[in-house]
Amino acid sequence: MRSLPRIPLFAVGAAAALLLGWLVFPSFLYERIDQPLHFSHALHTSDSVGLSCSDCHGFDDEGRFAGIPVTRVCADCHEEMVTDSEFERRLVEDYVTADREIVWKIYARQPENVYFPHASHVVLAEIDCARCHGDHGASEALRPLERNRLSGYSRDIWGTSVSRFAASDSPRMKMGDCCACHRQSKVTTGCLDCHR
Amino acid sequence: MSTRVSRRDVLKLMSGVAVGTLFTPVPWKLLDDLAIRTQNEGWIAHPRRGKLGFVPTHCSLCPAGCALNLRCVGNVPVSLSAIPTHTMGAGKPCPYGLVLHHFAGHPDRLRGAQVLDAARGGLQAEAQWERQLQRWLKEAMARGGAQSVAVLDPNPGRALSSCYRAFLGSLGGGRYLVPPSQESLLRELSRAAGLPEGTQLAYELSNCRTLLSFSAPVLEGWGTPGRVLPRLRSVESQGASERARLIQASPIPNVSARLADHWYRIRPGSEAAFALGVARVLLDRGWYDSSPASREILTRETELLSLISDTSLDAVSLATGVSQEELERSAWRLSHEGPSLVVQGDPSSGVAADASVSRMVFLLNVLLGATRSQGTLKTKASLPLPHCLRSHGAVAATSLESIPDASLQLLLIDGSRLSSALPMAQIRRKMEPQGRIVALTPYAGKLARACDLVLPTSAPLEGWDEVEAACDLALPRFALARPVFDTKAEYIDPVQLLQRLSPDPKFLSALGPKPSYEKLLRDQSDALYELDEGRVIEPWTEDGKASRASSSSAQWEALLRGAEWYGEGMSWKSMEGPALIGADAAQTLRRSMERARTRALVPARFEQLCVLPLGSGVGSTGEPVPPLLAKLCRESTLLSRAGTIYLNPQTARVMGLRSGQRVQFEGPWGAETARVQLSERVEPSSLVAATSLASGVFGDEVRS
Amino acid sequence: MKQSTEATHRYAMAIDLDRCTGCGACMMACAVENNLSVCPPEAGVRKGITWIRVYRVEGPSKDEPDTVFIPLLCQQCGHHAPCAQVCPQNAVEIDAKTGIVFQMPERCLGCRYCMAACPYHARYFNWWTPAWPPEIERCLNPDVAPRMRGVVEKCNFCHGRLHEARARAAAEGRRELEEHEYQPACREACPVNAITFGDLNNPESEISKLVKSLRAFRLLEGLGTEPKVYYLSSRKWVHKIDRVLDTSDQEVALNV
Repeated sequence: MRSLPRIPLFAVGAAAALLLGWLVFPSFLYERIDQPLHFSHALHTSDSVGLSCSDCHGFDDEGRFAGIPVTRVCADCHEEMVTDSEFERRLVEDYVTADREIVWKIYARQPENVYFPHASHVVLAEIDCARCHGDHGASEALRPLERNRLSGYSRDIWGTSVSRFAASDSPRMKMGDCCACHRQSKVTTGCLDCHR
Repeated sequence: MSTRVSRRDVLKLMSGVAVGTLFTPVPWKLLDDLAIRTQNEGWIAHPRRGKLGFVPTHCSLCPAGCALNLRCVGNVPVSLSAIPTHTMGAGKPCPYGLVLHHFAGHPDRLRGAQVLDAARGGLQAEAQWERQLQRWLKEAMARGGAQSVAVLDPNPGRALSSCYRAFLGSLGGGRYLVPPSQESLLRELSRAAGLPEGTQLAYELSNCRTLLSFSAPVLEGWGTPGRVLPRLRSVESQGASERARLIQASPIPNVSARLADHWYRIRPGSEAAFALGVARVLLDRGWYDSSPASREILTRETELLSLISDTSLDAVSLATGVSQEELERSAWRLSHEGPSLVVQGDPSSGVAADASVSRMVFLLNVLLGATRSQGTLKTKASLPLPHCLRSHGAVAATSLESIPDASLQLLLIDGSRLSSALPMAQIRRKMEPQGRIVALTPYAGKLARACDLVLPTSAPLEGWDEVEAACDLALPRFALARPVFDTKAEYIDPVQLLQRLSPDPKFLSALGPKPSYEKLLRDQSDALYELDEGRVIEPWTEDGKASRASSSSAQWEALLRGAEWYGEGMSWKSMEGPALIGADAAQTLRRSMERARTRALVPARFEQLCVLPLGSGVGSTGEPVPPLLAKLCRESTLLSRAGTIYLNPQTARVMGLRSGQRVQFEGPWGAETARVQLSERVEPSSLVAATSLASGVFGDEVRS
Repeated sequence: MKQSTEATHRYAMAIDLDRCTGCGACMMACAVENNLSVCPPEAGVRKGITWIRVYRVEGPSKDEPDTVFIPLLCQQCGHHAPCAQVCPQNAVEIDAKTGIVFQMPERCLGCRYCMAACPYHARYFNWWTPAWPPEIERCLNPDVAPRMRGVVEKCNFCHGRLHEARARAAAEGRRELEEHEYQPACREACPVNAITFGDLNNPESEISKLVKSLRAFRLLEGLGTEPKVYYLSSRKWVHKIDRVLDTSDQEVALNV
């Protein structure tokens, strides 16, 4: 029998695959998980409150980076409600008074075998927080964690762009990205320095 | 024309899709991300992440009580290290202490009270244990009176020990028993030396230059390892005066013997003979110290002196297997390369449980000047009683061996911290046929299986604990081990248990309506604060100086922070009271000497081997140890594994046994399977047992 | 030209065999610090994982029996480390800044060629999935990554502690470490201070002085591995232990 009228099936298939692969796949690949609480960095760093990055994300006595602050840090100011916000009420009632840790979702979680010391990068190399964490510090609300369904890691590690062709504004944290900056700054690239 | 989809169409489409897919991220991301996922699935462990905190505490596994610094995430310790600047420069935990935070997670932890139900095959859960225990107590009191109720405490000297003694007093006079151990030997010696009540002896090694040890495993975690080991193992090049020489007189080829400066492989049971020989040389040559204590002994102990002068060096040489020259050489070293000290191992290290040996050891120490003020044998005061126990009559300690057989109806064993195996055979002998044994222990180990009722206590770092001083610390000392883990395991608070069991309604009433171990410890701290000599050392001090706390609550807070309390020592008082060694001891010694001589004359008989317990070795207590310790005995050949017996190859050949063979090892202690290992260093007529059942047993056994 | 002017270190270790009593504290401290797994009962001496293992060796003289305990760990060979040369995956890197021969289990594919190449038998393979009882697994040390089954691991001179020390120094603005800041777990645990650890490139360090002593020797020096673990002993026969063939009966007990 004759084949179908000349539809370029090959091209159609290829186009369909390309469309699905480039447009649909990336959004399926990542699942969005909301943070447990609403938090506005912009508000807390604004002039009315006046906090800086290191007030909550600082170094402890042992020189370790505190990372995400524990509930106690929030409780320093929010022992009781200071606004009428519904979000704050949830913080005070569910976490501060109940003495529970807030289980924040971490955007930059690395595997166990990666050793990243904030101390050498923040204190010695004087790298700005925004260089790796983007403008998170100015955000009005916490964006949801986009977690790769297959690998389990955050989208922030690979980068927002799936192809990684263009040098994007959003920071990336794969090994190659760390190595690229290290090479540029002529700092160590030995395995021992970054791996546990 | 009909248009049907042909195979060619499908293939064209699919190949288009395939080629197109190659240019999308799909296959590459799938491969990459799945590879990443497989690296992180359930087959890789994930350590806890979070903020690190530090908790200073003490290891409560043995009386040394090494100071530890725990590194914790939340309230879970993730690693620990010693605080060497604490405990006067002695904080060096042994392999067991280094895995202290793993004890609580052992799979053999007991969860809930258990009874031994042999009919149903072992330990079964018991929900109504308290009522049953009350009933047993009443029955025991009715059948045998208060004297038939006893508590066996392997760690005497704690505040909890005083609580046991007061509890027994509240029954109307129960028995407080102490199994043989290094500390119990010292206590007995103190009594024999006529020291006032509440005083005990301790060794002072810091100025000791020659140490004679009768099988004491001095290089294997004896005393406080962080203090003893550097004393014995500094390097020559640092100056000969820096290091103490070790002379080991022991039939067992343990590490202390192998590494000693001089090892005399004496025949089993000939310790007294060796000591007599050394004493003979010292007295003959006048190589003894002329202190008042010496002179007093030489005038009072006429029986003993006549025994010593009757003992010929030939006989000693025959009995011990050591030549006369070597005996004289040891005597010379002890007297001329002093200050010297003579110590004796406890029965779990292979020394006969023979009181005469301790007397001889004490005599030698006096003759060598150890009891001088600059000497190596010191006296120290016991800790004062906590306030809450002062109004109750506390019974005195008795040694386990000294009570009559079959005299106990109810025995409570505090097995919460066992650092050496309990002599279960001996314990069972002391029980009446229908007597009951109740054990307090965190694990389902050998102790639990040997008892009728097992009550779970807290594992290290889960509950409260205290540390007293080891035999080599000549100062009274008190420190805490506070809970770190948030535990879900239910465990019994021993103080609460005692209060509920006591028939006296006012027992521990000073602690309030809900007495607890923590409150007892607080009370003890307050009692210590009242002593003028009390000083507290914080964990991290630049100069290691102790200072007096500003108030009793400040002292308690400091103790919670990991500080330690120290009291002053006491100077040696002159000996008053009954004769030190005594005529009966001289008789025992004479008999011991005869026995040793006779044994030596009889050729080695392989049907009757002398069983010598090897006190050290992983699992030698019979209680579960954290799994990592298997690296020492199973994944390497460094330490002995429990359940091993060592034979001389000659002996094994005669008995038809091969290395690695499993045998049934029987004796009055019971039976167990053990593996045979051959070693040239074991005497042909003995058998060295690294098993827990045989611990504390010494003697001849017929092999099966 | 490096922007950070960090001096190159050569970390080395000296173990005093006249002091070692074979207590095994170093083995336990290492196991806790580096998250070593407990192998199942069928793992014996051959398949157990002990990054540092203490061996007992008896002296050759029959008249004067003598014993020595030797803690054996990765000898951290020099530039021509045999394991680094044979690895097909480049999973072993001799770090330029510290001299540490660093094993990367995440790169390893488990061919065990390095285990054959290592003349000191200091490399260990995960024959089973590393597993701990759950309540012990929560106590794992976060500074060292646990491994999976099928990869080789070995002592890295406590790289977890090196990282921690560097981070602490960096938080204070320093690039250089003081000698006491970075000490491996075995050295910290040894009750007789038999283990000394430090930087050979620092002439003031204790280790630099110790390795020049007459008592110092290294194992299998003739192979040219240039190990950075030195042993100290005043006994002549101990200096020759790597040259003595053990012909004694293999079934004889090794720990009594």
